[in-house]
Amino acid sequence: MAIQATGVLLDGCVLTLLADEDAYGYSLTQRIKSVLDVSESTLYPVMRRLQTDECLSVYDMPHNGRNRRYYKITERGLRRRDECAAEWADFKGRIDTILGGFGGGSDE
Amino acid sequence: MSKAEYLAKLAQKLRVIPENERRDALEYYDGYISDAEDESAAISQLGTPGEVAAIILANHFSGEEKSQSSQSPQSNEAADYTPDASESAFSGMKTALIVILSMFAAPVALPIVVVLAALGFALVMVLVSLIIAFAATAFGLFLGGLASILFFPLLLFRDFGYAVFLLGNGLISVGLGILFVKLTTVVMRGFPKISRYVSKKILGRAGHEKNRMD
Repeated sequence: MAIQATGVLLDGCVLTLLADEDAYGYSLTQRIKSVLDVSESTLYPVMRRLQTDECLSVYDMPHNGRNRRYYKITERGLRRRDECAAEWADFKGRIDTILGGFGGGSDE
Repeated sequence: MSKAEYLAKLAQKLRVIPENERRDALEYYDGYISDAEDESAAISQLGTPGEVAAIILANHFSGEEKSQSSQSPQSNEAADYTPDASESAFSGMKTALIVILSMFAAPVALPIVVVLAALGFALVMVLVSLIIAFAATAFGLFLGGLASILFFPLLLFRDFGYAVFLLGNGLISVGLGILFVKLTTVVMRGFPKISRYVSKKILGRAGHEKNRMD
């Protein structure tokens, strides 16, 4: 995978996954990793930034004798997710106007 | 590396960021490793504590810049999300920080380097002169001892007592000479070991400082 998902794309992916269901750091990382080529340590700063921006809230739940920290998307996070999706659609559209018509074969 | 060791190393690398942020990161990675099915596999997949810390530090400093530029929490949500701007601001700030740091460090670092170099040179000189002194002493004792032993038979019939004294003297000298040869070889053999130890101390410290800056 030559194109790296960073910034707004990674935010959008994390927020979309969390819109589905709350998750903890490890499970979220594994789900992102199963699709995208990101390193394990890229996600922590993303989570932290989204948390500071109040796109996420956290809560602890006991698990195996310790507290597991879950992330939950906020209203603001949902709006940010829509913005990310819109940004991506816009970007994708722009790239597609140049690259998309090629489609791996000839134009005719 | 165990989880505790890994987290301890990570904590050490994160000394520069505020306590609450460090604790937050350590809690996250503590939980992360604990949640993995295989802790040691998770640790090796995470990368070294230095790599993990580098990402946290990079984001910490870029975040600091960003939060200063958008103080009001009620500002336009779309507008205050500018990853590209904050990334370039970060690299710019990092360069500036390094320049400022090296400017402050130069008046301190330069004399320290000079002093360390001088100390190293002095140590080498001390060892070299020790080797020369021991070798010369050994050589002198051998020569004197041999001469005394060679003169013993010539004097034997003229002055028996003196001849025997000379023989004893010669044997003692040769014995001492052997001892000094031994001393010389000990110093010579220890020489690379000592210099390696000292250079490791000095370079090790320099490397440590570099790590802290990283």
